[in-house]
Amino acid sequence: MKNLVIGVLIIALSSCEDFFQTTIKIDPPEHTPSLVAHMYINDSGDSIQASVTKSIGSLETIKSKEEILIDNAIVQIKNQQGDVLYELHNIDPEEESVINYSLGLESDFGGNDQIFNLEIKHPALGTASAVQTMPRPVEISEPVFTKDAGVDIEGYKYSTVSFKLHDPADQENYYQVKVLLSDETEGGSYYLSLFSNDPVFSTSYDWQALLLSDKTFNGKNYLVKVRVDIYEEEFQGELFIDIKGISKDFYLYARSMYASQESGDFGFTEPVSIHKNINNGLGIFSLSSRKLYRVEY
Amino acid sequence: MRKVLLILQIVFLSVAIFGQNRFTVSGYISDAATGEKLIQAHIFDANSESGTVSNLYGFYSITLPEDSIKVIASYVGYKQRDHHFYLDKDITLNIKLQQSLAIEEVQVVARERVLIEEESQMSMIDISIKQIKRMPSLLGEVDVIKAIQLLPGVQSGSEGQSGLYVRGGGPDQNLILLDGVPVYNASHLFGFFSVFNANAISDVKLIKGGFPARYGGRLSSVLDIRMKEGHKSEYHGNASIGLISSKFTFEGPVIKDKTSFIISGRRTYLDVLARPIIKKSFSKQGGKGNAGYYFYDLNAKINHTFSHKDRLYLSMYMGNDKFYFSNQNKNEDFKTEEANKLGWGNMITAARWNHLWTGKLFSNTTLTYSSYNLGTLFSYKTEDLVKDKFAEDAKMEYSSGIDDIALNIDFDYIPNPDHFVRFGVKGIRHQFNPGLFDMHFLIDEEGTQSTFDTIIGQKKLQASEFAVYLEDDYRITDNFKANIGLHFSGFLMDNKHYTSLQPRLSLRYLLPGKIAIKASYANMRQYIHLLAFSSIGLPTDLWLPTTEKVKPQDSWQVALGLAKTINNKYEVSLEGYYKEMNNVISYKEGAGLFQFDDWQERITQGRGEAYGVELFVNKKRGKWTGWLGYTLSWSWRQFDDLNFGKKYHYKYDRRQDVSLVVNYDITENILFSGTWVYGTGNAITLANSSYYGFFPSDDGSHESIETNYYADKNNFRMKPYHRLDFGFDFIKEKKKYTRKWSVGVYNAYSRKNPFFLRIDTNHSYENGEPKIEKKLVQISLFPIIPYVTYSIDF
Repeated sequence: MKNLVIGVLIIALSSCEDFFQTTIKIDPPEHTPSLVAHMYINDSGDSIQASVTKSIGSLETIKSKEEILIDNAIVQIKNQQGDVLYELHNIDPEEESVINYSLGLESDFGGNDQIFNLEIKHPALGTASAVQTMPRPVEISEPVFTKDAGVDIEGYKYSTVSFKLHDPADQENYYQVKVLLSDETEGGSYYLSLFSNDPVFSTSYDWQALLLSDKTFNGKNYLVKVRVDIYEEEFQGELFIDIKGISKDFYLYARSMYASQESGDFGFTEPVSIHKNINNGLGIFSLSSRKLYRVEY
Repeated sequence: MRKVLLILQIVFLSVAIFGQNRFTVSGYISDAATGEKLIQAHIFDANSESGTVSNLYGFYSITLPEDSIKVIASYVGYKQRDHHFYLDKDITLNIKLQQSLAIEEVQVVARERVLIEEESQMSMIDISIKQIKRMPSLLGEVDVIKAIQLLPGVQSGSEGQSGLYVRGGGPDQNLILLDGVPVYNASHLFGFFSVFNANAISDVKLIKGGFPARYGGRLSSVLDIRMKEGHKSEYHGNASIGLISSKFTFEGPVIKDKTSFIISGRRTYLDVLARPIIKKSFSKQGGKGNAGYYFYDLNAKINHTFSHKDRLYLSMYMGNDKFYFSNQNKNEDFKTEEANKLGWGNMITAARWNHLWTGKLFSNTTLTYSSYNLGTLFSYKTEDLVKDKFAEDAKMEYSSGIDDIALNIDFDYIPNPDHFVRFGVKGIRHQFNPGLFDMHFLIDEEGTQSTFDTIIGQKKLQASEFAVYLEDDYRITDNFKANIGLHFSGFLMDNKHYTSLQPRLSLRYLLPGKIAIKASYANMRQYIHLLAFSSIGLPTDLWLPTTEKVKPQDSWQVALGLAKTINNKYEVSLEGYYKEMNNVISYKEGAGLFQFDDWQERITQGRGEAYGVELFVNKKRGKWTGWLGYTLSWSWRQFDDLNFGKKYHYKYDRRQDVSLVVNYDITENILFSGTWVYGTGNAITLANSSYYGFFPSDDGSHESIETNYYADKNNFRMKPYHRLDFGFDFIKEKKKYTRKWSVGVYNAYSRKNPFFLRIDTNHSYENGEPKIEKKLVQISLFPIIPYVTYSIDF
């Protein structure tokens, strides 16, 4: 009995070193390279930019981005009838960027309520495409800034920005809200951090933005109220509500990007599939309409 | 309802006609020493070769023609008893059986149990609690659920977990009953231990398919656990000390042979042992504080026999897990206090009244209460010592849970040995708390007080569920037996109602050579759903109702099998099954736990499909006992909102599963037990590829982002799981008590079983150039873990 207990303890103590983590050599899931496109067009934008790359295996690494950039694709935006409206040119991306296609516009992109098709053709990787409708400009009223509207969980005072959002009744609408502080004397404009307990909001991958859908207030005027982090010394310049009408695809994409970032690498949580809307490829094509509203404070 | 009454009338009428010149022998079968009722004991008339079994309360009834009869009562591990007499009137015969010694060779005249080939029920396995208590266990904590996981068709989920995945079903699809009351969260410490204290349990039975009509409300299994009743004539007890917990049990008579009780409890004590170290650690940092974790549970039961016809049982279970952390710091101006708590637990009570209306009609009326609740508390206070008042006071509480009140009335009607009719009605009032935040903040700055006090979250939901059932276990001929039943259920919430009529059928035909061929069909419906955020059983998993948006889960299952007992020692069964499930539930991708939006928007419903073959060889008698289980199975899921709508392997789709359990009595006082398990690796989701893109930024910066692409959910298999555990019990009789040392090891050859996989990225430099390497890393949980437990029985 005594010997048995001692024996068991010796085995146990001698076997624990580096037990919990093991590097194993196994074949990862199969992979075939495919076209990847990211393109975001704003109705008030004066240029169109896109990244067109190819996917790699999950355990593959690249030494430089040139290995994945696609520079011989035809990147076109067509109207509903199939007429080519814009064709982007291949460019050398800036450092840290993968934007390798661009086109300058003579006027704003516009096109609210119109349908646009993205088509990318590549000799080896085939044709990838996506369809989007340009959202309408967003109408709001009664923008209000309230200083010291409450205290946060740590006891710090915070301010709020509120406004009435006029939601059209005839369609599903999705929005992105940001608050811009424009202060030329202090070195330009920047976005403030936002927070809200309102359940209509979702968090975006862009940590300065909040997303919302009109599912719970379709066709009504909805009072939007967000908490802003603003310091005394920042009470200079002008404050703007930067509101965008976004597509459902972008709403799902921005949410899934955030969820993926937050899910961490704990193996017992399910990984998040990033939303995509590129047929025969990966990535996202999205259109948005943007408006700025000045807030008095 | 009219149709049900009509059917009942027809059954009673036919039985009355059939029952002329026949008399009934009825009564209770119990352990002669303890008075504990024996469930499924066998009663057999050797002259007419008719037999029956005792029900869940030890009651039996057998109706025979007027004649000289020889009633033989028997039960596994007990000496059989014979009663000879001439039957010319209805009589009451209470039978007490004496336990036989473990290795005593008893000449078996009658069968001591109903043989597997005689029952119409298929897909059912019962394990004796004696067997479970002998099995080696993680850290010496005897675990009923982990023993069940070793049966064919049952999987455990992740390493060390107490979850049950039966025939491709989910963890919410198991009706876990403790003394007939549903248990909503059957695990302690994030699923590593189950809530059932083996010392308080008398019987464990698992049904995986061919569900009799008396069961309903879940799709995949019924785990029926019965608590002990307490010794009827003497006081006895048990106390044990293990590596992580201590237990005690005490039982005995209140009024000899009439009223008895049992009380059993356990508590872990790692927090108590670690407290001095933790406190010292806080004081080293200049403050005061404490942190720890423990769980405890308590089972209690009292029963009273008013007369031969009336018995009353009161039982309760209470178990809780608690995490706590507190910290205090102080300087000349301010004092801060921080306290965080997390607690969850079940509370179950039942009042049960057994009444014998006639020798043939037995009823059980049960009033139950079951609740599962989770609560968290985060609080923070700052006291301004100069001004002698609170500068800040913040508190946030979160709570979720479920509360049930139920009333069941069940009847057993045994008109003759060819019929065993069961019928009953049950009603449940559910209250769901899908998650409430209660927040309170106060700040005092320069004499100005600001407060914020609000409750955010989902409103509590009330719902009603009811069911009526009728079943008959009918011996049509000597070779042909059937269990035919109907279960009708309904659910009502917010003026929205659902109903379901569920036919149940089990057939058995005895082939030459006493090989039984069995078939079954069962239609099941489930009105409540478990929203599980991850694959491990977290206490934050939420039970939620069917609503207008969230539909009830449905399933149908067919099974076909063969069963035979060989040499009265080996029970062998081979079964194939096919099961379809509709409206199974899952979180949408990216949905989180602590969200304020409507929980109904966070979930999606889809389809499940499972099929497979199971082999079970069980040896219940002799010097060595144990079983071999083998399962070959497939399990699938399909959701329109997940995996791009494509069908995918369920996470616990396990192609091969083997379990071997061996108990060997080396001597009367030295007992060996070993288990070995093998299973195909779990299916997990790994990225097929990665790609680069960018996210739009309004400040003009467009840094590239690397993203993973998952072509299919659960597209990859982890390495197979296998593990050997063994242990010895050393027993010694002392003058006033019996002591037992239990020693053993979990994972004896220290197999590195996969818990999860992760891709690690290493950044380095090679020849001055940056180098990035990715590798797949497996994380394992338990190496070899020894255990030792000391216990005494008195």
